[in-house]
Amino acid sequence: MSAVPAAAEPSSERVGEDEVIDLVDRAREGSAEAFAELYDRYVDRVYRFILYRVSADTALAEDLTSEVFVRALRKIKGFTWQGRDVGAWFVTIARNLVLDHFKSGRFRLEVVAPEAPEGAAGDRVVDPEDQALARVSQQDLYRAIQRLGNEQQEVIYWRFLQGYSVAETAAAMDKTDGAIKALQYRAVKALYKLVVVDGDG
Amino acid sequence: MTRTAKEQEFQDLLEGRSSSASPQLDALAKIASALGAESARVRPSAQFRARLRNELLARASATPEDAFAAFLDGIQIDVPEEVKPLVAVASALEPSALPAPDPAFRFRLRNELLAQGAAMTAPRGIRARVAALNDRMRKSFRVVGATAVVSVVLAGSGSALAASAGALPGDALYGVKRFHESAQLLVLSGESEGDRLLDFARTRYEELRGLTERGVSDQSVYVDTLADMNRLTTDGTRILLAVFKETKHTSTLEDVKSFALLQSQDLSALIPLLPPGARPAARDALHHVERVLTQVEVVLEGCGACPDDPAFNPAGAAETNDTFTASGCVCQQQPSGADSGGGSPTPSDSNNGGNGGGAGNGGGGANQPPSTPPDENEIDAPDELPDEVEQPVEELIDDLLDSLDDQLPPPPSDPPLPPL
Repeated sequence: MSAVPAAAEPSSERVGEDEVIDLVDRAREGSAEAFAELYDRYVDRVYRFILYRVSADTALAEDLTSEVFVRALRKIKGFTWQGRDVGAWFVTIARNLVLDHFKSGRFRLEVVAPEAPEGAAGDRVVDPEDQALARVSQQDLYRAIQRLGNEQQEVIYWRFLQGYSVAETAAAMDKTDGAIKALQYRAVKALYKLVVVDGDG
Repeated sequence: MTRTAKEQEFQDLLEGRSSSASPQLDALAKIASALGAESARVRPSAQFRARLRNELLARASATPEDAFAAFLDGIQIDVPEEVKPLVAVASALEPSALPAPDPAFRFRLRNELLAQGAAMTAPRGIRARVAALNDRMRKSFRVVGATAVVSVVLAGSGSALAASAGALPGDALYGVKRFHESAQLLVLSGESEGDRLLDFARTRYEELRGLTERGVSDQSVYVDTLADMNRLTTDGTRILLAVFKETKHTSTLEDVKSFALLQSQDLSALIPLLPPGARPAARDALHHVERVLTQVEVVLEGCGACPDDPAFNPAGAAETNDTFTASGCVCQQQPSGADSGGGSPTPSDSNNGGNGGGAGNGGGGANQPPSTPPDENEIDAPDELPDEVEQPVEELIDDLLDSLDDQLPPPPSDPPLPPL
């Protein structure tokens, strides 16, 4: 795939702060330094997302993070804006690598939850007023997340654990706002069923 | 009328079912309608009505998804029963502090990417190389100031570099000036190259003088410039001596002699003006040039002493001995028959005189990347170069990149590696 020259795309197609746009354009022209600066900006986001999805397996998260950026480096010359946010582009590569990893069957089935807030807070029940939820701790909730489907886990991650808005989550997941609203509802409902109906963990 | 009938008639009147009535009923009817008008003025505020309307609409038409989303966005407080437990669950999902990547891992990966990136893009031609070079120059020369964008003008047509022509060591554009010199040398060889090297050695002298006029007192700037001057002098002299060996044209060495005379006079005069810390280096440079002068005079006068003698090596005994090849003493060789067609036999002589190569016009050069305002000192990559120039230019840029790498400060954001 040949690189699309920057001049060929209308500037309205580019998404993001001017600095980021400049870095992407330079990286597309072959500047390794510019790509490294993009890496600096997005590596944390990519790593945390992967870590969450692989149940806090640090070594695996590092491997997959490396793979994301190596692939991105190879593909950056073919990157076209098309109204996309480049951060979402990195996350998309990460998402696909995580899914590939799961499909490959190389992962352990042992469920390790991301860390709930420490100490008493982790044991705090979800809603003491509610008959069902009074028996569910936050730790139970976090464990249950691991049993959700891929997209549901992701929407929980962006919307609730990272605090993104609907629009931001839509960008990260490459979906419409409406789709996110539907997904967040289904995800939380599924989570509720897991902790209340099936008991914890 | 019975009382009931009267009441009925009054009611009919109020409801508009009859229009004729007795004057008493009429008066009562008027009072009744006045009371009605009054109560119409006591209405809920427009704001309240709008809010209530929205809330009702929302409840009436909203799917549970919409209600849930509206609650999360804070525009709806009350939710349908089926959504309430979900609200509790959502509220319990706090932003969790997922850890950042390990700093050592992050640093390592960054270096790996840089190396891969450089390897990937290096062979890809002028534009990629110039992009990399601009990156390095941005960091290496800390360019500031408002000057025009500089074009890479290869083979010395020189017009667009007027802005850098007067730059002195330490100036923002100095790196560009030196780069331009190297670029010129790329397409020269033989006598032209030797002459140009000596020209640049003269330029170093002029820069030294300029520094004293400016009152620069940092001796290291002078020392570095003097070292450059020595190197240029050695290289130029070596080449021209080799040319002379082959062609026996004394004019070649006459050029060296005039250079050395002028340079030694000028340097002698300059030494007292230099900062004291720079004077020893300046005296060494002066001796260097004087040796060249002696060397050349000896050769021109014929053999009183063989120029192959390392004692006459203009670079001094400690430096390279490859100034003279093993082909033997020049004095003992017959002049070659190559007196045909004046000038140097080297093929690139047509490049002599500074306007060579045909590598692009002087101005403008390439298309500007349109989006960002050009960094003042960015180099423009020309779209195309003549074939014979492209590869040497690429190699030049690679060499420059390598040497600039040595000058780069370490990236500021890298954490120190943890002990193994």
